[in-house]
Amino acid sequence: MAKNRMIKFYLNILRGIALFWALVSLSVVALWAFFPETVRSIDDWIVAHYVKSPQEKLAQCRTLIQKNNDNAEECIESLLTEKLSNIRKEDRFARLKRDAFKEAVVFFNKKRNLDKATFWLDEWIHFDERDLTAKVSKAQIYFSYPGKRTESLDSLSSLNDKYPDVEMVTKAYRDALRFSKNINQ
Amino acid sequence: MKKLIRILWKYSLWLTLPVSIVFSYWLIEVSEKYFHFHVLQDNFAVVVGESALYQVGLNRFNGYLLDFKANWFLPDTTKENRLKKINLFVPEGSLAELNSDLPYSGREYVEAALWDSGKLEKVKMRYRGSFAYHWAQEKKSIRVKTRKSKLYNGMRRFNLVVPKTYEQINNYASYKLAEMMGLLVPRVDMVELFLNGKSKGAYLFLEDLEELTLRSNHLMPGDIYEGELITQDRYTGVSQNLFFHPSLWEKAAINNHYPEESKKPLEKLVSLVRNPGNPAAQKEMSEIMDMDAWGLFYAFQVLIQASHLDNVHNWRIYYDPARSKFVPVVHDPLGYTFQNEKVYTEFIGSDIHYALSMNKDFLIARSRALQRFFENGLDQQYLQKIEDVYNRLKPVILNDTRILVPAPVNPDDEPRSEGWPQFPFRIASPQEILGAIKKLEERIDDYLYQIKQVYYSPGGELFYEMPDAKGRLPLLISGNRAVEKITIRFLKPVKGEKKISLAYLLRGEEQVFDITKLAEFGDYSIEISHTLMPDYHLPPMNKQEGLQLPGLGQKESNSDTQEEQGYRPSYYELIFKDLLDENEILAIDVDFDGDVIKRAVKKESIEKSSFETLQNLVENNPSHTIVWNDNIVVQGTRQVEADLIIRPGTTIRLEPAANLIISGRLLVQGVAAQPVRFLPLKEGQEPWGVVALKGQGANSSELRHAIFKGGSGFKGDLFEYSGMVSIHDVDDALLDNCKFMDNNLVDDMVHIVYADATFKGCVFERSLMDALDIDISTARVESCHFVESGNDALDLMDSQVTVTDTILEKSGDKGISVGEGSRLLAINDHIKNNEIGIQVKDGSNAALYNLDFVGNKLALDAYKKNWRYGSGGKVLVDKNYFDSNKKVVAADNKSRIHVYDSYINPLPAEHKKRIVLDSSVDMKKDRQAKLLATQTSLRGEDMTADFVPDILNKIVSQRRGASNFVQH
Repeated sequence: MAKNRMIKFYLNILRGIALFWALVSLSVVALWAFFPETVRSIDDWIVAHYVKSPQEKLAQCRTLIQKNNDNAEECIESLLTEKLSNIRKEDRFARLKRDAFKEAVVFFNKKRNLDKATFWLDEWIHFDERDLTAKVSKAQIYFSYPGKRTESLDSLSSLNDKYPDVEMVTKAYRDALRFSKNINQ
Repeated sequence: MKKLIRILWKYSLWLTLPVSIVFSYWLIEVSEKYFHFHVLQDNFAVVVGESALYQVGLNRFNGYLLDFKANWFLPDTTKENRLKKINLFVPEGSLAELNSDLPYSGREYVEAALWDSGKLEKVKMRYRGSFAYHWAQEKKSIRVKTRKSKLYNGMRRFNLVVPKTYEQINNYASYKLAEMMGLLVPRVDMVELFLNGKSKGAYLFLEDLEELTLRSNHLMPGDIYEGELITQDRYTGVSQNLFFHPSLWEKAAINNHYPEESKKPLEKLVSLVRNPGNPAAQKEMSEIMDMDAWGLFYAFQVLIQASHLDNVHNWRIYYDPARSKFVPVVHDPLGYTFQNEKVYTEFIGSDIHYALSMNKDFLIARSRALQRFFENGLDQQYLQKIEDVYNRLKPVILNDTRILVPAPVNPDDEPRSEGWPQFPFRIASPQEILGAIKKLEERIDDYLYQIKQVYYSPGGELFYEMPDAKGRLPLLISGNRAVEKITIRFLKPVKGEKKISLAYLLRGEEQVFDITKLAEFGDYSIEISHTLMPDYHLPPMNKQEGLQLPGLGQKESNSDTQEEQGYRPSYYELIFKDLLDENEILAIDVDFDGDVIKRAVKKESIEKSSFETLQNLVENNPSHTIVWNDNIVVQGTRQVEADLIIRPGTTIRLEPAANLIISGRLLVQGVAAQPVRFLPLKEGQEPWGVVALKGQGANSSELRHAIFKGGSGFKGDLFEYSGMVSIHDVDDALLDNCKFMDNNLVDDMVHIVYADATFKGCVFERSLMDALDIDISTARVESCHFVESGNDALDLMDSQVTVTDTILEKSGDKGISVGEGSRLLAINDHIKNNEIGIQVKDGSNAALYNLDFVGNKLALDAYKKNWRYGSGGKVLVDKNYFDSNKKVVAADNKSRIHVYDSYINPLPAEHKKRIVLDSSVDMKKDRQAKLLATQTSLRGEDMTADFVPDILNKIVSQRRGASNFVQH
């Protein structure tokens, strides 16, 4: 008797959940059928919500970098290692991640922290092997360190061999050669 | 009431539970797709102009409805004539692996199996495609890679591509049209894919472009450049225009005679495309681009109303190293994607289209290609082909409930995008798809009709005005066909100085050319053979950004730009010095495009107009014949573009590395007593380069009693001549009683490619490596003598060759190497003292009659060397003589050698299947045949079928081995 009652009890719970879920599904069907604009609004909201946080964080980092704030380093690194760490080349945030890499590289180069700048440059290149800005930036930053100048010239030379028709590459190589010549003279 | 509620409550689960389950399933699927492909990745192509959430949700829902319908009302179409089936088997775990993190996970190959010729073969598969519609939906585009040892119909890689258009067959129909027109196209078909035994519906089967594609099209291995700058192929930090940056192109096939990273030919092409208004650049374009192929390619694009080729993607261009010419390869043409009623007969989609449209040779070629298309009735054949595929596709479509296509919900819906796709992807019912295909058929019919009206015309008109007192005869050419010849008929006999010039205005400035050499003067007429183009106008291009013109299917707001482009009447003047004095023109006959003769129309006055964009309308130096009858010294590289006659006794001395490249007809008129000699300038000097015959202008060249000694070859960034004497792309060449000896540095003494040649009574002595290398050609070698070749005496690749009454002796490697799909018929030859007498390999056949194999280390060999060919060699041996060979015969398990009625001493061991000795083979009767009949077939295959039947009359059926002829 008690067992039957238990079964009835659970059945009723199941009926309740199923009814609730069926009503939800009907509402969703109604939403799609009669209120497509609402669906679009939900869509926009989800995307906006997803996009908002990393964008805000990047903006915040930029401000800190501009103000030369002590927290700038932590901010940009945490953005890249936490929020954007899983972002890949074909993801929505690819461009944002690229901007973040750029900020980090410029920031560390300004601080003359070559190790960190190199680390983020390598990450940037690894992120997109076809990003010529990243490759040229790495060579240019190396060029600004006298001890790394030969490595930089080699790298620019091989980029120039591979992409002789890309103005950004040829200009960087030309400038580096001219500068080296002037120094040697 | 309470009772009713209680009953409803009691039985509510029957309704609410299925609804809940279906809804939960829907929710999971939609959430996964929405978050992964839209929120995380923002894949626009799936949901163009629409909310992703709405679209994904709706598609899944409609999919369920169709599934439900299909499960209950699916028609049985299994017995109907269907598409060819492709059966792939993949472990579920591997599929899950592929799907785990799309698109990235889908790019790694997993193990799979392919049902091929009654056997399950190991293959690898992965997903393919740049855009989400290839992998974000249930039906996914797949790439299959076979093992090297087991190709699929001669292919190592092929793709199974989800049809991405509403009408499903757009790409198939486009590829098939390209194939019919004779363009370079990968193999293509419409198939039904079965994945793990379950039909996945209709797919486009497409060969993956690689070196094998070239080989199967009888083209020399070379670079195939791949131009893609979208999605994962996109570069950052550089403008996205392929025709600015050759370095951004990849290679689908590589010419291994140059470094893998070398793109010199492409760099050249891009530099020319960037200077379309430069006459010199246009001339070079005519030289390095196969204009017939490019004209055909453009005609094809007009016929399919293509919009899928632009500055950023879908370019595949083959550079043929033997002809030094670029040839377009059809890739993802995707025709008929726009639902326009208006047909586009002119369009430019990229910078290369633009540059080509300023080229006279290109315009003539494309106009001819379109005319030939209609003239040969290809339009009707094409429509029939589409109808055929529709009939085979129909039963497959009727069983497919997963067709996701970009399609309007209502026929009058406005497009959501200017480019493709114009509508969001949605699930469409089989009936709707079939209806769309039928409508497409009607549309194609209509397009073809409209294009025919424009291009398959009986030519334009030529108008003329009576000449002025200065002897200037104004002409006006209308229409879109070129004038090939003008015949002017006079009232009185033609008198006066025979001098004629042609003038026209280029950007307002008069250009005058002497064309007297192109005129033939009759008693009462003058015939002028020179191409006169109607004007072709192009809108200006932004040099910094490249072409910014709309492609096809763009909105009407851009139609002004479209209208600016196209043919316009052109104005020329013929200038006669004093030929017209006291004479009168009776009539002018015009030959349009070599096949329509019309009478010119006289006009009171003709308005002058100027050409703005077309270049090189008149050749500066019309071709003529050059005669050499003295000693000639060649320094550097001498190009002869005219016909060249070399008289008996002439000696041509070449400096070290000097080259003579002739693109006209060469007639070397040596005789036995006074041969023509090509020799080093000084004894003991470094070798000279090459004497080359190049291109169809050199057809029917004849070289008699010529001696070539001490040359090598010639290699540049854009060409390679690998023989001291090289014949590239020349038909009907005759080399009679020529002698070739002592070449240096490069592989071949004589090299012919894409040629048809006869070598009669020639001697090849002491070649550094191969004496005569024959690639993708037909040749006859008669009564020749090859001696002491450093490597092979005769080396064949993809060629069809007869060798008769010839001696091949003391070769460092093979007497004859028959490789890579070649056919050899050898009769009455002596194969003596070679390392290997004859070797047949890689899908090649040889039929050998009345041959002597004497003193070779290995007389006859057959095997498979190159994985690109499915089999080894097949050899039919009949009435041959084998003696004093170290080893007589060898064959691997991919090859077959069948020997009939021959003398073999000693008799070799038989290998089941590989080497079969007929009972008529013995080591008793050395020269007398046992059987009178001659064998021509091997296992049912006629081994002589590719040759002229008359040649078989040379076989002496009563004799084993060759006759005792002595040569040279």
